[in-house]
Amino acid sequence: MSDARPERRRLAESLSEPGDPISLDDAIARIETGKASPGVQVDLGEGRIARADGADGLAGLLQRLKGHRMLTALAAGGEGLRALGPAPQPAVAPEIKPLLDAVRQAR
Amino acid sequence: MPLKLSLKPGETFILNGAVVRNGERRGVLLLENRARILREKDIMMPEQAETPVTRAYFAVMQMYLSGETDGCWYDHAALALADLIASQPPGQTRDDVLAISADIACGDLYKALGGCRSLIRMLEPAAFKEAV
Repeated sequence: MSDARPERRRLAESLSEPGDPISLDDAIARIETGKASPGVQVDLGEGRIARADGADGLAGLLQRLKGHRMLTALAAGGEGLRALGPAPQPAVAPEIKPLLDAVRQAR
Repeated sequence: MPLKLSLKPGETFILNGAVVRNGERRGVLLLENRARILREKDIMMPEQAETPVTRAYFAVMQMYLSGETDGCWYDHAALALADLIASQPPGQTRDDVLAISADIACGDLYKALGGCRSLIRMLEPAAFKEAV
């Protein structure tokens, strides 16, 4: 009877290994289908490599990659984008507000 | 190699979530490890974020100060960048915004903030003097 444990270990190692960087579309497809390893590296051009190193892991990486793809498509959209309309006033993050208040007082 | 900061008398900066103010004399600060630091001249208040490019800076600044690369504040930054793209004709500026987006996607928020700062200098030099 063969021992399957080394094979399991190799499989587990391969899932967390970084591997070669993959493209934006490929990475999104792999993450969405659950086929991406936590060590996935995404080539965004000019030496930029995105990784699942944020607090939300692969879900966070997927959010950032989809956002970047949306912006890339928007930028290629031509002149008609001005119809988006005015943006709302910027929201202030609860953890940032005390910092800005303290800076304001110190000025 | 440490990061050396020369501080003016009374200059305020944010270091890893703490607001710090220099004393009455000029000072020098050496940062021996990687930290999130933002000098007073680069700190923007919400009321200064009035245009697409300053709103983008403000959104990225909040991500940088919090150290968060994902979550709802990413969505705020992506929407601000979308507005900035929409406000510009096709060309170099849109490419610059995409470079900022790529830096954010890679978690390099300091570089993204620098990219926003360059765009403010280019698009609204007067705003840069007042705000960042």
